[in-house]
Amino acid sequence: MRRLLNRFLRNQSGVALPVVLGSLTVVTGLAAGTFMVTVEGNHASARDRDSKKALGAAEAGLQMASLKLTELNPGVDKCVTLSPVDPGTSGAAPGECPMTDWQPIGNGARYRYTVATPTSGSCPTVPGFTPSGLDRCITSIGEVNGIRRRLQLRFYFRPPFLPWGHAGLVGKNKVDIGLNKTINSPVGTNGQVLLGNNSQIVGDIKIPDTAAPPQFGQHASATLGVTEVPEWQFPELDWATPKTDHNNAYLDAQLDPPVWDGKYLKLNQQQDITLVGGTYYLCGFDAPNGNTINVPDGQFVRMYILGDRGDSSWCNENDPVDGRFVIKNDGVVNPLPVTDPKAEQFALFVYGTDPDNHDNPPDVDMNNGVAFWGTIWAPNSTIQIKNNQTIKGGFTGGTIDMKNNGGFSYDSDIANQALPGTARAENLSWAECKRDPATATDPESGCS
Amino acid sequence: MRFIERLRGERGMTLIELLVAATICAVGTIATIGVIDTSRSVSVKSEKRDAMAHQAERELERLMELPWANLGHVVVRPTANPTPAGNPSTYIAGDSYKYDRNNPSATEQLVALVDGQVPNTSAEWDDAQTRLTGRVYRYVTRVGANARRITVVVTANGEHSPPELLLSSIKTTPVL
Repeated sequence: MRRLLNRFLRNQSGVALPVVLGSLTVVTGLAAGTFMVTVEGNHASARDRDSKKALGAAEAGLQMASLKLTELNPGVDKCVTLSPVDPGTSGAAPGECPMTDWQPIGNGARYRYTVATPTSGSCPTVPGFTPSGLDRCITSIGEVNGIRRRLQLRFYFRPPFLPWGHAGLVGKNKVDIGLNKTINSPVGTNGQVLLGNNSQIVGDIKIPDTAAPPQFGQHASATLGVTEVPEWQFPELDWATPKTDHNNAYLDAQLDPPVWDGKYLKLNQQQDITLVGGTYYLCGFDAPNGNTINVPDGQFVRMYILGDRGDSSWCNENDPVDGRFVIKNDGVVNPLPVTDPKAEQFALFVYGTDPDNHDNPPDVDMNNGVAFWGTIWAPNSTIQIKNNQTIKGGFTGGTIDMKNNGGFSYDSDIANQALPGTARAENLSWAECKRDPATATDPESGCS
Repeated sequence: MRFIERLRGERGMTLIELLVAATICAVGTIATIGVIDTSRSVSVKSEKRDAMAHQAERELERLMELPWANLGHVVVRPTANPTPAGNPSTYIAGDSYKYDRNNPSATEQLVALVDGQVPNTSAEWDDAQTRLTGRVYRYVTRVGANARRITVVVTANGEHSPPELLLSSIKTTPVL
């Protein structure tokens, strides 16, 4: 046996081939191993790329969800997909908000999101931060080639204040409707509504239970009677912040002193003016006789009457129209297009000097045949309207004082017109979640 | 009988065996070199893709942080440029950009702003650690009145470069 082994080992024939094959097998194994590692690295690199794309898609979902929330302004009991929806609908578990369908953003990436109601879902909060009843939890999933990233955002949204959503004529302290008036709008106040002889409100009088009962003159009525509502709110605008984003340069280019001195706009008699769309900040405005203020079709003008507001004001309290908007004697505001003027195109905001003082000249003074299509926000002012006026829009004043004939019509287009600066949106906290919810029926789970 | 005896004999076998072994060895070696070369190119490609993804993510995050008033191109929109070949700006048509390579008909208008801070021209990127270089292109397009799409396209220089890498997201501003 041993001799046979020695003879086999001494025999050199047939050695080269096995040695080469053996060596090649080893080298091939090493090469294959290397190649597999390389391929795995390549896959990992592709997954990393797709993961970054998925993160971008998920972030896009958060952004679009927060936009949708502010666009739709749903009630606090509503979820948001592409429209306001109820919890427990569209395949969501009872009490939970549904997700949107997948929304593509191109190049194979897509997202979907769910916006919880303030009570149906919660997000991680920033330490030391107290959640409010308006916080919404948004959860978004981004996906590319099967790779998913899931993000969550706590988002605060205070909806804009809509002054004319419920009534076209609102007085903080009083609405005094004189004789022979027809008011085609609900009327509201926290104080008292006085309705003169032969005047009619086509609609209801909306007052809180703390308000005084309305007074009706002879043959005066409100077609829908009196409705009890919560107390009317009059949020303050931000008057203190210096104004930089405005269109006063347009007036500088169009008008010379003394008509426009950079603070007060005082038109000559019969002088017409066109205000292009934009925001104007004035100390006072005076259109004494037969003036027309046009706003081009499709454009929107916001006019702020600042007046002397103390130390930081650049207005002059001794000027006779300081803080006032005065238009008299057949003056017309925003009459275009002639067939159907749009009240939403002209918005007047008055800082206000005296909400209830009839001895002083009223801050908003419309006298003798004035036609006005627009909105007025002046809760710290008296709005006085006298003698054969034609008005369509929405007015909010401290006191609204209407005298002698004419009428007022509500424009339903202003129902959703927001008071500037009253809405607020803020990202409060951001977190990345696990790939899938910890509880399948709870889309916000698995994030803490 | 003679044939069997000849096979049993050892004369001349070493040379034939050597030739066969050498041939197998050569073929095997060439194949192994091919595998190693492929591995190398795949590795280089992976490394470049990693670096490109890193550059794209960095640029996207930078653009996402721009204030809304600055999230647009500088006054004049970027224009199409056919060179170098495969330049992502060839997807510009007039003032629109084809943001989806899978759907060439999907176009959006490029956003140009007076205070725009998104450059109109591409920029060179280089990674000091890997010594890789390439170019980064940025496009901001209008999804709607309150939403803008940010598309970052990154390319790499040199051989074994992966295709352009597109990273995109959307930034919005609330309706207040």
